[in-house]
Amino acid sequence: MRLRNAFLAPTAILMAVTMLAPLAIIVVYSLLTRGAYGGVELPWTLENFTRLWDPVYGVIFVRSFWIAAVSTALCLILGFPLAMFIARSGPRKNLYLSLVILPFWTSFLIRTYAWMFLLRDTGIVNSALQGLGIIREPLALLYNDGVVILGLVYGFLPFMVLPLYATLERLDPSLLEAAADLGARPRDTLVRVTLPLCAPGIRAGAILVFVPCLGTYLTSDLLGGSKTVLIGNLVQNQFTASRDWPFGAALSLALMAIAMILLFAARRRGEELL
Amino acid sequence: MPPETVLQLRDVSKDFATQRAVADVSLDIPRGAFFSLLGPSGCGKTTILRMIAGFETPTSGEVWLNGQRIDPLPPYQRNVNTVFQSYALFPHLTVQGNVEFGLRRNRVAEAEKRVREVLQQVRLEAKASRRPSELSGGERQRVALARAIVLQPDVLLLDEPLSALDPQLRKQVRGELRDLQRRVGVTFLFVTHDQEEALSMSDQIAVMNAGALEQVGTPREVYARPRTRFVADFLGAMNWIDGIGVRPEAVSICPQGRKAVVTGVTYLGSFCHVAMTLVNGEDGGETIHAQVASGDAFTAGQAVCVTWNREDEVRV
Repeated sequence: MRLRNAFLAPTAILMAVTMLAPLAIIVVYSLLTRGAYGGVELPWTLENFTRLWDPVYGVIFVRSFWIAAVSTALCLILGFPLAMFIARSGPRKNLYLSLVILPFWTSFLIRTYAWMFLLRDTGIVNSALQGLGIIREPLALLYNDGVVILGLVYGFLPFMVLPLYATLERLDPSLLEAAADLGARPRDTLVRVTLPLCAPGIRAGAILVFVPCLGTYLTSDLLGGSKTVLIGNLVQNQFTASRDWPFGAALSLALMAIAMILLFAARRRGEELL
Repeated sequence: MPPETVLQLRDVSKDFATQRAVADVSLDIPRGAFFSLLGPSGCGKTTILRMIAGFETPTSGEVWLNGQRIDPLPPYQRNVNTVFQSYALFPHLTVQGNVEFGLRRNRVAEAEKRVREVLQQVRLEAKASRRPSELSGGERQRVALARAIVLQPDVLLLDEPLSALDPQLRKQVRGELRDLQRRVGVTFLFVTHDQEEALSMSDQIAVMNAGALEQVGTPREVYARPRTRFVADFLGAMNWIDGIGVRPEAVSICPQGRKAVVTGVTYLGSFCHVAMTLVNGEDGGETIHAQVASGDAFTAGQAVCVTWNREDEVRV
């Protein structure tokens, strides 16, 4: 027992310092008054939280949830067939899995910039289409909700594929044979056997994609520009341009609270999260 | 295809990457029979079952069911059902849900009635709302059976369905399975490597070795009149004296006959197993085993005489 504690202690201390301490600071800041040049001042106030009810922020919250939900759904739709393909490709599995993880070898920031180079007015896509004479004026591919979703799906697809793969790989193939044996066509087998048995993987993947999508600011900032402000950008603004740290802290606490309520709702009774 | 034959294999072969799993097997399974495919593991019996179910495609040959060629059909279009070795029950469904699974196309009232009837037949009415994980091994096996027979298949395929049960239960289930088959009248094709199982349950046995059929016949025929040395050895112990086979239970130890010396005695409760070495003549040195009543006392080193009836001899 003592040995176990000795090994746990560093992790426990790290978690406390790197997670709980910043969280406590955020809570304290959210209850203080903004300083004239950033930072926080006394007196204590709840005003930062009452401001959250302004419909301007409501719209941004709704849009953030919408974009995160659509991105998660697309990751599931795209990731499921891929995960199934990998789970059934025998000795090639490991190769395909490393291909899925390959993008992580480059910084997410650089990969997002690469998307900008591809999609901007003078980017490769527009130049190619113009060169082929398909379009005359460049298409406005950047700076809309769609391209933000594209960037998020691209970035977070592996987080969906890996847990789906893990459950599909463990799926007993004789269950699929039994379903066919009992008269189920492949589509029935998918709906009545494969999907229900993959529910834990689907839930895990959905959480792993949805939560970071909800808090994203890099993708929406670079690909969405000023037209697609999400919660993440709003929070970032409070700490930079707007110099309103207490309100930024209140915003991030609200985001965290909503995300936790959703996760709790997604949890099935008697089942652990993830 | 004669009407009394429900399932027919015509020169069926199956090649896998490195080996021929099934070699030119032709079989006629009579309607309503309890038919066993018996052989050691890796002899191709499970591959045959999987080709009939539709999980494998024959490399050559044809499979006919009720006058229809089925080998090109997918599993869900064949009126055969399988009881899997691991049972393959759906863990997310209750017993009821598992048994109902194949009845999707039936009217609800009709399906409910059939599920109720079949659960009664396998004595699981009380457990209809349990999940497979809450059942014992024997109960799971009965759910697997119920799930398959509720669809009234032309042939029920059973892939070593008793091998996952503990030995005590296995013997009891043999009788139950046999009774169930008689009651529902469905043709059973039963795959096993256990000769006792095959002998005790079957109307007919097909003995397989290395992908090929060795012999097809009633339990009595394959046991008492084996046509190959493999069949003779696989279906029970056999003494080979001058190329002639004699079962240990046909050998008796008596005052007159061939001279032998007892080399070992194994007490097995209801009977004794006696190992001996023949001493005289051209048979000198050959080992012969006898199964005798446990009341007869023999000791190692004792000089005895052995004999057997001519009609108990097996020539292959």
